[in-house]
Amino acid sequence: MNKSNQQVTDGDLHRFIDGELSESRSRRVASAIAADAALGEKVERYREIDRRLGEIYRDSEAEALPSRFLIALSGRGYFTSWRVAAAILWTIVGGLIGYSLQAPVEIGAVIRPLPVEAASAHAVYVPEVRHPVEVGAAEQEHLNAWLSKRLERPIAAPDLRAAGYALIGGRLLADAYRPAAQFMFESKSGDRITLYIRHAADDRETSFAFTENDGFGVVYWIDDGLAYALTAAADRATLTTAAELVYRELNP
Amino acid sequence: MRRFESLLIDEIPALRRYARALCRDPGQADDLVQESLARAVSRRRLWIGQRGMRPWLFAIMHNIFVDELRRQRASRYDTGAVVDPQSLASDQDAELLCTLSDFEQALYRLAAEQREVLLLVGLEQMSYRQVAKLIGVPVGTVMSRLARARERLADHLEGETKPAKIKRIK
Repeated sequence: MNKSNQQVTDGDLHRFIDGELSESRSRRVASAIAADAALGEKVERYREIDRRLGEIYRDSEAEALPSRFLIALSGRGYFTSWRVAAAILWTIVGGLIGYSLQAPVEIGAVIRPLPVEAASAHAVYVPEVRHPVEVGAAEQEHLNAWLSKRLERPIAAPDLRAAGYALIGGRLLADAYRPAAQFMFESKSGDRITLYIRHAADDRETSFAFTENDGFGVVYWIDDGLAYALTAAADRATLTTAAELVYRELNP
Repeated sequence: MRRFESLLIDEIPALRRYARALCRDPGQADDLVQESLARAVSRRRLWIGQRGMRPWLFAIMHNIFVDELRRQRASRYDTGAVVDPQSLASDQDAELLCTLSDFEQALYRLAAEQREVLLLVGLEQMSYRQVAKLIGVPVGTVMSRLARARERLADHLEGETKPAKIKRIK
């Protein structure tokens, strides 16, 4: 009985090349390959890919190590190297719309883009049933005073009832070593929307920008030294309308 | 020098090779290496000696690389442009791409996720299981990414050899 004729899948060929098959299976695949020129050619091409990768990249091993690697190893250059690397990477990225929203403040830590940070806080706290906020709407005055004290700026939850959202409350968050605030609102049907506020990198003001992160829409802007991001599982038009209301509420 | 640092230094050539394969631009690759080393030093307490230095370092580098990819993709959403994730690696710096061989160009046109798996298996000789653990996906995903990467590059190689084949038929 010739077992080598049994079906050899493409997956088998990869596992064969990479030594992922049992010895007996590997022997069977090898004889199937020997018997079939088309399979043999395929395997040869796959192997050729690995050979070329080796040719291209193995030669870097003999090079001298740049001193900056050794500085990184000393542990002293940690924040410096982070900032330098981040700056370089960001420069390469291109499409730097919104760069000012993510540019580092004085602190050496890398600050993640505002919409990413806001969407991430939204994703973590919005599903909460028992503890969606630290301080509830019933203590709104205390909430505003507390967040204002921590962000060292007057911060107040906007009134979004005109858009159909009631305040649930808010919480203090950490954003790259600095305090940030999140207010959470809820519609009658239970849809939640959050407003994320942190210090802006500079004094510029921006118009509304829209992005999507992990299924959430985010409208964000900078106004008077603070960066705002309004996040919800909603489309751009809905969010922009709500953001306009937030803006009017905060700039009466 | 203490054991941790000397083990790190031993792995720098491998880190560098892997970073170059990921990043294409040598300067950018060295940034990635530097950042990975710095993060490794800052997290030395999380390193468990028995697990081996290379997989741990590669995982750190993978995470930094993936974070950067996400950031790039997110920043492209900001512009409102239509984003094809497959094309992300190919159009960044066309000029640099021109200096590369056809094969390297084809390599960098792969989606970054596919290229990464191909390099870990084909260049670094890691097992599917090790790769799955390192990048945090199921073994099946490792296999499908690897297969797609190899198929694309094999098509490319086939294109290279076509004229010779036609001759042989004659």
